Amino acid sequence: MKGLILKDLLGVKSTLVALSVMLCIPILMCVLGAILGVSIATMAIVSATATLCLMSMIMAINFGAYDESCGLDSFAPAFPVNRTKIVMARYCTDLLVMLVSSLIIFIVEIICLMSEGMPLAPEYPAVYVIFVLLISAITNPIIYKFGAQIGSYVISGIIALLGLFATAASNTLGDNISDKVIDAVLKTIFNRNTLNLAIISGLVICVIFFLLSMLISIFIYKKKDL
Amino acid sequence: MESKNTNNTNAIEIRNLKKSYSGFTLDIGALDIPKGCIMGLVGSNGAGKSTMIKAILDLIRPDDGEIKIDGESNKNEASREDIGVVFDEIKFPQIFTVRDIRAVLRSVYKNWDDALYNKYITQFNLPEKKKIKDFSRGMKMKLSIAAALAHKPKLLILDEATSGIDPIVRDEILDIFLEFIQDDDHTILASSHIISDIEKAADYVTFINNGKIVFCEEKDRLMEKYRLVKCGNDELNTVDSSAIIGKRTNTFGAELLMLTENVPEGFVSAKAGIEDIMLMIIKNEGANV
Repeated sequence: MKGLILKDLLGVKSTLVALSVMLCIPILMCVLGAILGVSIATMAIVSATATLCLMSMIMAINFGAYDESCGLDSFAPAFPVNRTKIVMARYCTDLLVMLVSSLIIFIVEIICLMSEGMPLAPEYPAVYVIFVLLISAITNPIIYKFGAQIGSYVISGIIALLGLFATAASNTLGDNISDKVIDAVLKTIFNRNTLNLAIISGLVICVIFFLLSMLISIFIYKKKDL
Repeated sequence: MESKNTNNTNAIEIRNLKKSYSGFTLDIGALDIPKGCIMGLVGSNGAGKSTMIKAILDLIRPDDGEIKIDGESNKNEASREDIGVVFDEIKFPQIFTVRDIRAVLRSVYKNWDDALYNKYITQFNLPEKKKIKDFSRGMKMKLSIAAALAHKPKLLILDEATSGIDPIVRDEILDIFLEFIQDDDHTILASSHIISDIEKAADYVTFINNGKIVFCEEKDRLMEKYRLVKCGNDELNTVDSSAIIGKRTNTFGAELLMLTENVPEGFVSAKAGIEDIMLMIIKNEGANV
């Protein structure tokens, strides 16, 4: 399994280089803010979290896309590793990327907030973890079922449908309903009184969702003709 | 844990293998590939060669049947430790380097041998740091072969591994395979369109057509079994049609593929090559094989 995780990570090394460059931006923002005497720590952390969310989503699809483009997805089962372990390795890679990225967000937070004397905000890495668990849980079974290329279309379709649903809901239920929902969610997450419960509940639900997704992917991959 | 049966004389045993797709069915009643030999798998495009190889590697789920590798089910992941596979294309991401493949496969195979891999890399003159995408086709195939051999497999499966490669590199690669087969415990199953490679290296030949095995014979026996008979139009009328396996006609007469014992006396006959046998059987499908 270690070899398969390494294979995934080596496959996205160019993405990792791009990610490192992009992560320099929030840190530079913070340095610039300190020089100019403007507090932009929160903006920098949000920027880092958003960058990592986006890159994690790209990587989750790229892991499958690289394998598919060179035919490794249909060759890997010829290795002395069973299909369950092949799927588990992919989920472990997602977890590994998630853990490292959470740590990066935490470090960016330390750099940004401590320089401005603000307390650490654990909600940013927590929100990131929830996002990645959800993305990984949704994308992987789709990629195992349809392949990365069709899978990415399906994922885009799901996002478009969600957008359409939100717009329809906003039009039906009244003006700014989607803004109100987003406001309510953000207030719940970033409200220090409700933080622990909301975040912990979210994490627990996402972990269950992630594990269920892994079982579904294993089921799909075990039955698949390659 | 069950101990591995090392007394098996067959590297691969296939029984009643069936796999259906829309418009195509692979149906292999029985096929044994003895240890220590090179088995050439020939047939036209879509005949079922790759499907059979995929079934052996457990990449597809057969509808029925059983496949054993060295006496163990092919579904047993440990049995794949002793298999090296080379496809017609390298199956690693194009941004990988020789080093990356070493790093990955070192963790995948228990028997991985860095020194052996390095030996092949040096022998093939492959650059360590260059990305696969910058390799020539020949270099990619050599890298695939190095990766397939570096974990010391006993069974090497080659699916069109020499296609699209120039004759010099192909000859170099064939030498590596012939060196590999020097060990009595080693076996090669090679599917190829390049019949000359099969004629050069194989000990046995299996011919698949429309998903079914037409014949599986020792190569030398196969060459002795069939003859190409050249005859004029008048002579052709005297030949028993049930003895004709394949026929190629021209304005002057015909070229017939026949079993050696059925060649009529007084007719000029010549040795039939695997390609002649294959082509004539395909063109005269359902004839008297």
